[in-house]
Amino acid sequence: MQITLNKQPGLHISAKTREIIVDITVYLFIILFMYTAASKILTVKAFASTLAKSPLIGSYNMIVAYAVPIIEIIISIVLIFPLVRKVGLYASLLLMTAFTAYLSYMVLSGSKLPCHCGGVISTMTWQQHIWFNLGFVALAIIGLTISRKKK
Amino acid sequence: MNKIKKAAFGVLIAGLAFGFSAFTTIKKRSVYYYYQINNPYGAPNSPSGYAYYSGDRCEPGGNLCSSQWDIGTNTPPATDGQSLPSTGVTFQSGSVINGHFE
Repeated sequence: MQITLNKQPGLHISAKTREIIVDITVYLFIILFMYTAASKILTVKAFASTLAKSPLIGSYNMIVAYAVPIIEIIISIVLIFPLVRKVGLYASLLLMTAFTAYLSYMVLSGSKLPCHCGGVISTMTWQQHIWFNLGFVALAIIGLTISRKKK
Repeated sequence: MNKIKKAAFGVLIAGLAFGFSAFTTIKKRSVYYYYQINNPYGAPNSPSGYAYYSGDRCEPGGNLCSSQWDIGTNTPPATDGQSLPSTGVTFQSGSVINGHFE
């Protein structure tokens, strides 16, 4: 008896759909980074004073308070240009992973958590922030995976 | 959409996001965090016992550490420890931060 094994085709997504998914991913990151960067820059003193309470940042609070929104704006600019947006997606993934690792450390270490979240999406709890960030980490991975398949 | 159109749309999105965020942040400029330093068991929306501090001064434990108040046309607080004006201020509902003043 002969058994024929049919290779199951993977989830087929057309090139056009892939392109649209990558575009949406990129625009969502641009919105997130520009929105949060503006808020952080305009309330930089409050943001820095919140960071000063963090055991991981402490006296570097002013440097971090300015560096984070500047990095977010740079990544947004890189994401705008289609030729280098893949680099921007890698940078976005790295930044969101760093944010998530920092939040997770703060929550899991039992450190005293500063009450205000720098005025940015400030209604979220720290746990909700972790899930929000993980969503964007997943989005970056999806964007990168799809843009890799495009070629 | 070609590459130039995509880049132009990206610039538009970035500008709108930055502008919207700046607009909502600036609009809240008459809104300040005041810390409840004298009356931690009082009603959060009563202006008595509140004082302004520039930094984050909350610590865990307790139900009322700080809340946001729109001070309207009152003079913005300049120094730490300045009391919340008793008139012309509006409590911002949903702004209460749990904990207690350090």
